[in-house]
Amino acid sequence: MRSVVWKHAVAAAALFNVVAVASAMAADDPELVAKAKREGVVNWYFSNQSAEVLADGFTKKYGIPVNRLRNGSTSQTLKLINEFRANHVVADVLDITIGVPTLVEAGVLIPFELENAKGVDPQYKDPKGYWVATMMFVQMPALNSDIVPAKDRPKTLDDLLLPMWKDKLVWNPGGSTGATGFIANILTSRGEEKGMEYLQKLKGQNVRSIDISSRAIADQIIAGEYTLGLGLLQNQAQVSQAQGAPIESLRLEPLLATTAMVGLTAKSPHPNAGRLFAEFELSQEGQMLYAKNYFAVRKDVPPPPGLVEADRATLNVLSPDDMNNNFEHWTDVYNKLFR
Amino acid sequence: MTGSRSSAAVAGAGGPARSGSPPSLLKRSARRLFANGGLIGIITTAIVALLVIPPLVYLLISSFHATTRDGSLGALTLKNYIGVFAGKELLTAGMHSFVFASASAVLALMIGGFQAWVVERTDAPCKVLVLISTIVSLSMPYVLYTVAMLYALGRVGPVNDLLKWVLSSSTPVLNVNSMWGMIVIEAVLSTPLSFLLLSPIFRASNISFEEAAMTSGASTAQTLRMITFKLATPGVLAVLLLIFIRAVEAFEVPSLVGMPSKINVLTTDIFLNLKLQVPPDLGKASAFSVFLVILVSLMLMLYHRLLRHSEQFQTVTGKAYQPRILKLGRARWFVGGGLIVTFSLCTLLPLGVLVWASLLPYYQSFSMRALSRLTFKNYEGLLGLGRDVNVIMNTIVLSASTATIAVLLAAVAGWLIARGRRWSRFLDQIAMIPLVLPGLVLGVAMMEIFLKVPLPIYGTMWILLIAFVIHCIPFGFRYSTAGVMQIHRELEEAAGTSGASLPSTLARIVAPLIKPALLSAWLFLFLTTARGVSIPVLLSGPGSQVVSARLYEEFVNGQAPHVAALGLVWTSFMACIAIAFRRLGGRIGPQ
Repeated sequence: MRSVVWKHAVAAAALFNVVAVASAMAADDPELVAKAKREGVVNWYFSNQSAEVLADGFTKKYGIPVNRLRNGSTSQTLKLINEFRANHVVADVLDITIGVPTLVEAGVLIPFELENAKGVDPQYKDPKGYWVATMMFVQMPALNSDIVPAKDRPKTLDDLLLPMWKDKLVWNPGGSTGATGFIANILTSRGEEKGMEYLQKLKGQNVRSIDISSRAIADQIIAGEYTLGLGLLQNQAQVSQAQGAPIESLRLEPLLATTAMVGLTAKSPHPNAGRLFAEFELSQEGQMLYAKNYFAVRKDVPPPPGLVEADRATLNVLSPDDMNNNFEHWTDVYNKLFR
Repeated sequence: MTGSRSSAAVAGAGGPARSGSPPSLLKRSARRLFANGGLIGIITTAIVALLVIPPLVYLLISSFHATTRDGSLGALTLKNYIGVFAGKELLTAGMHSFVFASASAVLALMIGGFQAWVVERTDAPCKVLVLISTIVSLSMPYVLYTVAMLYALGRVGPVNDLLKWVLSSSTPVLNVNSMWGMIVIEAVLSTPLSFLLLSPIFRASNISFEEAAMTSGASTAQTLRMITFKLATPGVLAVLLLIFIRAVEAFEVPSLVGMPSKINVLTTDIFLNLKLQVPPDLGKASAFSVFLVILVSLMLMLYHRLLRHSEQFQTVTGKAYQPRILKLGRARWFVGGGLIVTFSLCTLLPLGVLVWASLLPYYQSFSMRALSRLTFKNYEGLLGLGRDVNVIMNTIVLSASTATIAVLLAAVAGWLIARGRRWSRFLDQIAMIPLVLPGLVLGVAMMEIFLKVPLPIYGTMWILLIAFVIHCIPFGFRYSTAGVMQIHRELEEAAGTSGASLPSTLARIVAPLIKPALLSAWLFLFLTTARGVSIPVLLSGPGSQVVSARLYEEFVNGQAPHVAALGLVWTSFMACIAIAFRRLGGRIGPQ
């Protein structure tokens, strides 16, 4: 039943794309484009792999090469702060998932307004203008469909507490996915008291922690090393399933979504090229490139395969401030209960 | 010290006789400085100190400061140290660390020692397997190797499948997520280092001692136990120390293998916080590193105490020095079988798993159904890797330069340390410090230092070069110290008596004798630099990127079959470079 709904959604999205792309291309500011071209290059620090397609699209459109530096959010934050303090900023524009409020606090980022961000929902923009979300990563548990028959698959988050799942669950301990993401979802959707009650019970399930990426956890589930993974990215199971792998995402609501954000640096060596890049990222054209794997923040861009537009309203979206203010608490809960 | 004094005296006496007129005061002073190794000691110590001390100072400072929310140093505090020792399970984690580090170091030493002895001193067959094993292991990115071992030894891996079939069991027989799993995998990862460090020691053993023992009626086993292995003691202890410290500081294997079963070691908590927190808790990680620096210093003191009379282990003297091959007779096939077993465990198993994974659309254990799905799809598109020629060239130039500088430095410093010259104890202590600096801490320290000093190398290849040389110093030093320790100082004294200056003696007598150790060191450091991740992650700029950091990101985000194909292509490329190096004159195994 679900696959029928998804097929319709994908077909509708494809039609929607054709109409939308033709009608909603925002015109570029010629002055900004000219200045950016004079600067000749843009230095982009980012942490999300699939974002590389964006740089290729930008260069193709404007002929401005993009020097890319991909690293985890932690390393990018450290680099940016130190470059700023030493008055030796290299990055013009950045895209990271954790650490933006830290950068704001350190003075590394400047407030900005983007023409293409005007149609974006306020919840995806910083009221003070230091960042705009560019995409959402939706997290869903996934299981090995060869090992678990359809009748035994959990339908709700509470089903994960059934005795049959003891010693069968796995997650990775860090970042915004895995254990931290799962704990955040429970505590923010159920409240601290009820959430902690749930997590105390989950502790009894002896969830296995393995310090590899959520993508590698998905591979371990496909291989049959583990049965059910928590806090995986929705597109990971989707991609493997399309190749015939025995993995299936579980729609255990609420679905958690975290965001990646774009920011512009103070003392940037190529400020106009950086701004033009950010405009491109939030343009419908740029957002379409993200929509192959992730939920774009623009409403005129279809959801990724496997999700429908209606999901947007039911997602439990964690804002960067939520992440920044509570990350330590969620990590503490993990350390106390599950390590 | 007596030896060096006498050689200095002889050299001093020999000088005027040759020149025919008394040398000037300046010349005499210079000669005296050189003769005692004093000037060389000062220069070498100064260079090493300049490289190592600044990061150490940063380490100390950050260990006594809180880390603020923006990552800068906050108020003075002892909280970091309290945090390190206040963990509720400190005792358990400490015990786990000790068992894990000592058992894996001993196991790596046994496997590497066995390989080194067989390759260097016996006529056993299949020696080439050790060479292949070493090159492949060192060429393969660390994370990939560990994950491959996890798949190989995992619940649905080939080893458990085989055991289930043999023992007719319906459930997996082995649980790799256990202490033994951690020990075996860490030991396998350390075996190439152990082999490369021990090879020169066995190679430089003088057979005349063994022949004397055998002539006196000792059996082969007795000779091995009482002569061969005993003479190798100082070198072996040094290697054991190095591998032990590396294992105490190791994070990948405990977190990937032990953590799923809640077997936590001292590093698990600290380095996980370092990795996951934004900004990372550098203060606590630094405090832990300071604790390790103290531990290493104590162990080095113990080591020097044990080797107070290291002359007794020197086997390469002025007398005819001819390492010869021990004929094993019928036992050679048995010993060759041992090499096949270690090759299968350390190389064939993880390599086989990776080849298998790279040929599948998604990872699955071996079955007839899986066989029908084999595909080369994962290799398609990898040719595009060649597009990033700059990144590949950066990696090769950086690795070769790092290895060359670190080996040259290590050759001189190793001699100073092994000969107990002036400054040697201090030099030995500071040379081990980089071993316990976590990559991220070293990266941050380098970034802080070079963003502040008026030397514009941040974001260039130069800062990477300096950081990697610092990182490689302990390994280079151990190689050369072990090599020099077996060269009897009478050779240098003879050169001095014949009028050779100290630099000339070093270049013409010592260097050729420790050349095998230095070439092994070069290759090890070249491959280690090429696969180092944590340093380039923080220090490379958009124009100075290297392959390892790019690969790491692919490993984190890519699907297992794609990652396996990518890793195999890179491993093959690095292995080709290593083999080419060997053909050009290097030697890391049998010749």
